[in-house]
Amino acid sequence: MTQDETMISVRNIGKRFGSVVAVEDACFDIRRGEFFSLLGASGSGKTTVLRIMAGFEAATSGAIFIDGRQMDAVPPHQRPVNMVFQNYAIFPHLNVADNIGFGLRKLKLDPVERRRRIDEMLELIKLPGFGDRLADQLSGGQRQRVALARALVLQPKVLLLDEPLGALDKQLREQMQVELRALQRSIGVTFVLVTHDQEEALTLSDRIAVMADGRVLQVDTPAGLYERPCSRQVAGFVGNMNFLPARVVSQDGGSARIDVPGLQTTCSISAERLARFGSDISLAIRPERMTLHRERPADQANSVSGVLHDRMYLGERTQFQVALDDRGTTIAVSSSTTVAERLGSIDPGAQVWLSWSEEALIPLGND
Amino acid sequence: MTVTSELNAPAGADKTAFAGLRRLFFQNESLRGLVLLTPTLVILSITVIVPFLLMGAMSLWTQIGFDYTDDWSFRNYGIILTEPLYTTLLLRSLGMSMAATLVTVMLAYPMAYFLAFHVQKNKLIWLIIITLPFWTSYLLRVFAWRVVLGYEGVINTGLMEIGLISEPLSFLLYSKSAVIITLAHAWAAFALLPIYVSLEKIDKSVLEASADLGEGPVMRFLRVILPLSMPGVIAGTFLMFIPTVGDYVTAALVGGPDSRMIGNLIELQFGTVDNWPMGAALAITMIISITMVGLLFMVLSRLLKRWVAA
Ligand SMILES: Nc1ncnc2c1ncn2[C@@H]1O[C@H](COP(=O)(O)OP(=O)(O)OP(=O)(O)O)[C@@H](O)[C@H]1O
Ligand SMILES: [Mg+2]
Repeated sequence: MTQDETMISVRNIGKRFGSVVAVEDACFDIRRGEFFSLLGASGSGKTTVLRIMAGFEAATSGAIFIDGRQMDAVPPHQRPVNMVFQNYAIFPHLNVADNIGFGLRKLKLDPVERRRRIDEMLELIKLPGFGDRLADQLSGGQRQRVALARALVLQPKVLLLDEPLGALDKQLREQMQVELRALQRSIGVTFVLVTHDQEEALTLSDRIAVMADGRVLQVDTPAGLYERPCSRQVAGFVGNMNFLPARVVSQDGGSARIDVPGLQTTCSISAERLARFGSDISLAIRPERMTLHRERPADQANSVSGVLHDRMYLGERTQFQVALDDRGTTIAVSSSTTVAERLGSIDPGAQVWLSWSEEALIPLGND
Repeated sequence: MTVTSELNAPAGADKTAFAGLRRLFFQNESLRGLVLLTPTLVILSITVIVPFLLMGAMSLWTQIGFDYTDDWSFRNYGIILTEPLYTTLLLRSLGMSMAATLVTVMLAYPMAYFLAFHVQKNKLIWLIIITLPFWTSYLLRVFAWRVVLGYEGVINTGLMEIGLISEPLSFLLYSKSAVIITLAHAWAAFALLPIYVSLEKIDKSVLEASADLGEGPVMRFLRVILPLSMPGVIAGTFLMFIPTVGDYVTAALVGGPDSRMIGNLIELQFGTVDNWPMGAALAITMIISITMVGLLFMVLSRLLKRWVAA
């Protein structure tokens, strides 16, 4: 990535609150015009990273560059970023128009131009004519949009969003996701979104940084995270995943073959990755990458038999829980409901077979 | 309406009437408010409104010797408005109260600010320490200032001790500044607490938002903190200004001849001079002046708020 393409560069950022380590050695770049998400469970340090970018917290170690400029000594009000706060932080003493126009004072616009820019923003967030309302006369979704407009009217290089949709109900959240994504596309501003909702991160983002316990585990595209998670933790956090304990069966030169004891399946892994994982490895496979059969498949390899434990109807998809023969492991298999219907009714306790292709197996370390 | 139909219900009329009233009570919020307010309203009307009306009536009488004429006239008010003594005292009282209020609010604001934004733990202890002087009687506090400001008081002896002055400063006590200092101290908690409460209520993320939108510390204070704490400042100002205009104890104990206030004059009318109608007229005039100053202050602060926020 050239310097020109990088908007934010996070270099080995660490942050401690007393004895609490909130962020540890975070290192990643965010590209110009990208929709970037920080995804992680509660307490994983996402908000802290965002607040360090905005300048509300000083990093204990490391440095942050925004648009090529080091930010350590730059106070929040002089940074080329704007933030949408989790609770929106709308000024309660100002109406919607003055909230949106708050940051415009510094530009010393004449009243007509100021008014024009505010109206333009009201138009953008689909709240024309709401200028005279006070904050407490707005719904949650409307407040969220005002917070967005207030930040965007200043044409920041980067917009930081801390769980902006967290307080909204499911339907409104999904609608706002679509709008947020469309907005980001149309104005081309770099967005950095904090969320603990993996679905939200997957649907919105160009790239995602997965965080856990203050560490950045992986930075990748949504498809990359889903198809090629780099660790068991990431795999478990993004979507559902089955894990099978694996062992090394043969090793030659640059690659090794691993299999799952008792299962006729193998896959290859580069020696370099194997060295990184150590001896404790798993094979991971997504539920939807497996096929459920009532009869034994013709090809013995990459299949296993088991007993159907449970069948869950999830609307669009149907999920089966299969207990593998002679081992305690239960595996989740999911198929689209139309395919599941073709199988006819299978009662719990029935003998079933699972099959998969070798490419669907992901070797992972157990850290 | 359901209530009337229930009241008219033939069977068990007594019970349903009660139930109807009960329902009315729980459904009608303004009625409920009124009922809850009734004790207060009764006490207020007996102790405030009735005496106030009586005083208004009395102010229209005229004292002649040991008797009143009871022909109604505005003679007393005419005297108050034309006689320089009265207007001087009234204006001086308003001025001194304003000064004391200004001093107090200016000193209380930073204290409240510190308490609201910088004290993390044990806020209650801080509040108690700050309001500790108000646990003693008002008179005691005024007397304490006599001890501090007096001819042989703490300040004078202290300054002489370290050799800054050779003889006691006589202007400390029995002066306007003594009254203003004492009033400011005596009523400080009344200004501090409302300001503290309004500052404490400010959501910290709103301050961060204003920083994020490009404002430095000074403009953050002017555009966000000050307007949001204005209700507290206004409440504190009124709580302090209204009672101090009429205060006469402080002026009597630490004030000099140049610092008598309207309260002292009113006390004289009801006491030594024994001219109750005049005293009543003075009291009414004072109340009207306070109201006018208060209204003016409200208008000004609203204009100020609008001006700084935009
Ligand atoms: N001001 C603070 N003082 C002390 N500890 C803090 C402070 N702010 C955050 N922490 C700690 O740092 C860690 C990371 O917090 P952070 O707010 O970044 O998490 P998060 O990923 O945003 O979580 P959530 O999804 O719940 O918002 C947590 O353990 C938290 O307790
Ligand atoms: Mg957070």
